[in-house]
Amino acid sequence: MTAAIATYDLTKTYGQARGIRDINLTVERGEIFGFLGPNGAGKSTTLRTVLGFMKPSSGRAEVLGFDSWTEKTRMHAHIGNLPGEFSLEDRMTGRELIRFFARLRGVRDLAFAEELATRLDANLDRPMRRLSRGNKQKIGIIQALFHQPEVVILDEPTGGLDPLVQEEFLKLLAEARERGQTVFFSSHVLAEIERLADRVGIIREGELIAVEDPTRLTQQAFRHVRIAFARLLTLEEQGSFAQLPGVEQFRAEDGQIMFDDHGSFDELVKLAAQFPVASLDVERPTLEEIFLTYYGAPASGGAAKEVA
Amino acid sequence: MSARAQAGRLAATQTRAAEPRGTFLISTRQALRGLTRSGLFWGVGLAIYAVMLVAIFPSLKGAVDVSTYPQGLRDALGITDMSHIRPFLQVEFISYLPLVLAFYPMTVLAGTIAGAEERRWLDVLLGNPVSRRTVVLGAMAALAVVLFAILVGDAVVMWIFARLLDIDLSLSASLQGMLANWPIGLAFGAVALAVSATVRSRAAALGIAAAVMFGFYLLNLLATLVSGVAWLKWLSAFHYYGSPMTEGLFWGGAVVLLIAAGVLTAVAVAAFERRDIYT
Repeated sequence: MTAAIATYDLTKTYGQARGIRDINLTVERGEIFGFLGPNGAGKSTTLRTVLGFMKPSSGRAEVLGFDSWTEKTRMHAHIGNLPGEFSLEDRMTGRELIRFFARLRGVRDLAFAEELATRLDANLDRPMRRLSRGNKQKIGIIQALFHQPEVVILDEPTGGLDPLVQEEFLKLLAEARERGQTVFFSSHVLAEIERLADRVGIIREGELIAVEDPTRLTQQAFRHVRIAFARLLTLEEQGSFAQLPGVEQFRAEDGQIMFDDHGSFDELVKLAAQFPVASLDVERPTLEEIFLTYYGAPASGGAAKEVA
Repeated sequence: MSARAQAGRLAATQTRAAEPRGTFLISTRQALRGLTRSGLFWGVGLAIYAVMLVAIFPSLKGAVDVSTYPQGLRDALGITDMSHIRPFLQVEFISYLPLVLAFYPMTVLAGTIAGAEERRWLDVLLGNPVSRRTVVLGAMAALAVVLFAILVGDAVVMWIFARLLDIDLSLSASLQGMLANWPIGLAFGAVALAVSATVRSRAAALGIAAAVMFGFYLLNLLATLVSGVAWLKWLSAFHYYGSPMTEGLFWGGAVVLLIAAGVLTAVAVAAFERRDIYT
């Protein structure tokens, strides 16, 4: 079975420095794939090239085996698309827009569109120009999902939605996965990717730097460690912790030591055991911190990967 | 080898069957809906102006003595005798009507590609199984229908009003004077369309199309007024428009203008299909 989405050395350069380089990405059918990166990293460029709105400078992209440039119209019959920035025709109401798109797609049954509207609390009878950004976003989501496409591509889908609607939207995506639909969505809201995505691709300065299982990503990465001792440690004793391999960001205050541990847990526990430990906190970093580690300077050890 | 050829054939079949049947009509109908308001606005505005001119004709009749005008100017303006309604309407209305009315197709068609792109509507619309070609051709078809309806409607209004005032204007003359604006309007609209398929700015497309139009108008005037450069008229779209109110519709010219509109539309489609859609 062909993959839902596959890119082969996909490269798109335009303007000055912007663009994407040699993106190789496979999204399997039935998975939710999160695409993570800061603004300007190339998320939208990747999505819009995959969707056939832009022609690859080199390499190519396929959705369900359809070439995204030469077979884009046919490909679009199987895709629901929510662009990152869009406007809908001012005088049209949501219902008119959905009806128009339903005709283009040969969809007759609008029951699911109505269900989506109810669940997202969207107003289908108001002209677009009188809708707030959040309410327009709801119409955008409905037009992407109402025909239950095999592949859903969403660029920053939760922007402008209030928390309750966001919650409902994430449920809708989980239900889409249960039905066997594939979801490819970009986001900078890391919590929603961590919660929902089966895999996460991290893009930085136009290059895909990692594809991970989001939970494994959090497991593999460093830990925030805080140890409180029953007595004040001498500077020399504190220093023995700071000198452990993989310990960074070392701070000591009020009888506590705090640092990030990048992997030397065995040595850490054995060293700590020599002192009267009052409390020990080990915290996983958030995906955001992991992302910053990927994105930030390569100084923080193994977690950051230098890109040539 | 043969498997590859087979795959090639398969791809070709897929490309041919890219759009569900009826997509062009759906697209055209949607474009028509979008043009209802503006079509009414232009149609009513133009009708009011035409009716006003017909209404003032009886009081102006004979007041303007064109025999004092130089022959060249009379030729340029297409004036023969201002004491009849047809030359009067030709000079006061029909001769420069394209300069006004063509702004309708130009604004609409500059908006079809570049305008929709600037509004960030194309990413939503083209996410559906509808090709760029169909979107452009549907917009062109809808505009052709609306422009035709405006011109026929206004010709009939002008004719009825002339009859009411007992002015001798035939329905045929009224229709020919108005409908001559259809091919030239579509041609200038297609200029805007073709430019907007390349420059990615609605304002620029409209500006360039308007400049082309006024350039053609001046060229035609120059060719008529300056002896020795009469051949220049063949280069101007306005030569193919003619003097439809006094001399009747210039059919050959209309065909030339429609071919120009067709070629420019094909150029627009080809350019639009090859380029990126920007946000």
